[in-house]
Amino acid sequence: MTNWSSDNKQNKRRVNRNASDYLRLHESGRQDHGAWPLFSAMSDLDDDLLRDVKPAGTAPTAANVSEKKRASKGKPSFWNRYRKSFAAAACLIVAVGMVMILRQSGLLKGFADRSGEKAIHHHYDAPEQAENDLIDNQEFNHSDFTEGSFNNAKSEGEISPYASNFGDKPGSQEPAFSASHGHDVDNSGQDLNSDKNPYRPFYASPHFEDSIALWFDENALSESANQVKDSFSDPKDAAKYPRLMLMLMDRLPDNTPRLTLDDVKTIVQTFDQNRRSGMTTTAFQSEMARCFNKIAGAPDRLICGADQQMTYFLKRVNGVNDNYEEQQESAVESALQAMRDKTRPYIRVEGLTIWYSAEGDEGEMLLYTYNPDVP
Amino acid sequence: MAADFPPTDEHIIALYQQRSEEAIDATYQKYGGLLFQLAWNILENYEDAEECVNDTCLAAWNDAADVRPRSLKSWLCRIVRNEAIDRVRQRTSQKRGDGNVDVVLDELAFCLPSDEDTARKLEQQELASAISAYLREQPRNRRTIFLQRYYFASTTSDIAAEQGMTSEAVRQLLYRMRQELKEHLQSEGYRDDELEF
Repeated sequence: MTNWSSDNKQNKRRVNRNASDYLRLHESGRQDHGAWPLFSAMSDLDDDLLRDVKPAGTAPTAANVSEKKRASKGKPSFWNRYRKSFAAAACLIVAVGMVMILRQSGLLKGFADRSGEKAIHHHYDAPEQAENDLIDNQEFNHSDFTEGSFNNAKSEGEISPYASNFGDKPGSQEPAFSASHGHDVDNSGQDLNSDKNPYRPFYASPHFEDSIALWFDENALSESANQVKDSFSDPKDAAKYPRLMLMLMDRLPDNTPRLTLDDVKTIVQTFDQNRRSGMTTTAFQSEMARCFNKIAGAPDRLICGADQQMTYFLKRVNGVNDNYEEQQESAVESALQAMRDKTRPYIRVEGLTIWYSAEGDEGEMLLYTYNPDVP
Repeated sequence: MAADFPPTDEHIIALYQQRSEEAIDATYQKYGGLLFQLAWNILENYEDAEECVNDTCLAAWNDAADVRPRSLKSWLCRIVRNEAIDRVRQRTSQKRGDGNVDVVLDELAFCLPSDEDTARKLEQQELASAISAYLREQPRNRRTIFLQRYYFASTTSDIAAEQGMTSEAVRQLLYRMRQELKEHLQSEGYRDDELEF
């Protein structure tokens, strides 16, 4: 405020405030700043002074005004100050929750794909729950294999003692025969249990190898077991043939479902009718595995690395070897022969193609090729 | 009246005085950006700046019947500037306390402006005249820089960019001009016994 004096012209007006405050002008950060009157007074500058003057810079638009500028009115509240952090934390919690839900439901590929069998095979990842599973599986029956296959019943805790092949071994001291196909290493040395491996779901547990190694040790006096062991350069390679090894070890339930050629044809036909373009090799194989595994549970042989392929040995059909099950492919020699020569019928998914080999046929026939470019 | 494009100041003023709502649109069209930038520079809040511009147009609408501004731009800038300053002061007032008494006083002030308010306006106009006199003596580029900083509240970096100078040079120039203004105000009779620059 100014005081008016009548002393003389020079002293007519008196400024009763600190002029340094007056002239410091619009210093932000200070409240009740003394320069406000001066700053306000400039609103009344002569019009002609403003004629050709405009503000420097450009005004912000609604799009580029930050939320902080939009919201801040005076000192920011605790909520305004930390709301971005809260929002980020909330988003993280929601995202984690969704991932967990999708994992549980088996919808999230890469986490639970396991060809859609995550929920069914969850005990492969949690062998410590075998006891609980044993209780749950007391009423073992064929339906246990309708989805998820024989691999549901690998561990001692998981395979019902009432199953025919195991009825005579309730008190066995054998270690838990858990897991699906064991910890595998493919020809290129790639760890198949790597999280990045699309086939990891089929090789979810490292215990299978241990079980095979233990079986070899326990049957060291068995000529047939030694013969099997000798047929592999490394006993670990045996884990690559889970179904055959289960047969050799007399662990494969006789009611284990198998794929048939008709099943495969139906699956491929259905897939082709509902096909979508642009699928990658991994996606195609994952989709095929998901369908096949609903019946077979898992591939019989899996090669990862550059030559990604899955092999499913097919159920022998009438006229070829109808007494297949009775003959108990546990006959070591025939099983090994089947393994080596692939004289059993099988389908093989390699890349974007599915090959079929008939019983006793050493050649392969192209069953289906997926062309991602065809809509 | 046929609308010009862009509308001239005379045309807009005429629209205001005819009480035509096109005056508001024309004002936004021609001076909306300028008014918003001025409000933004003072308030630094998007919604407040928008409201400030809206209030300016409303005030212009209300005052246009009684006032025929010589310069529409200066008139609008004055209104928006005062609106923005009032808002900043209101914020400051709210931060001091719950502001209830201030609200009551504001309500009463509407009924009868105080002598102090009238005196303050006179003082303000006197001070503005003194500053205007000082600025008239300045070269155009110095005057522009001073007004951009202290009238439009632009940042020194924006001024420097527009004037082709460094920010430091702008600050130095503003410092010298403040010193000169201080001396000018002292010569106009404003008390100087506490001045320290």
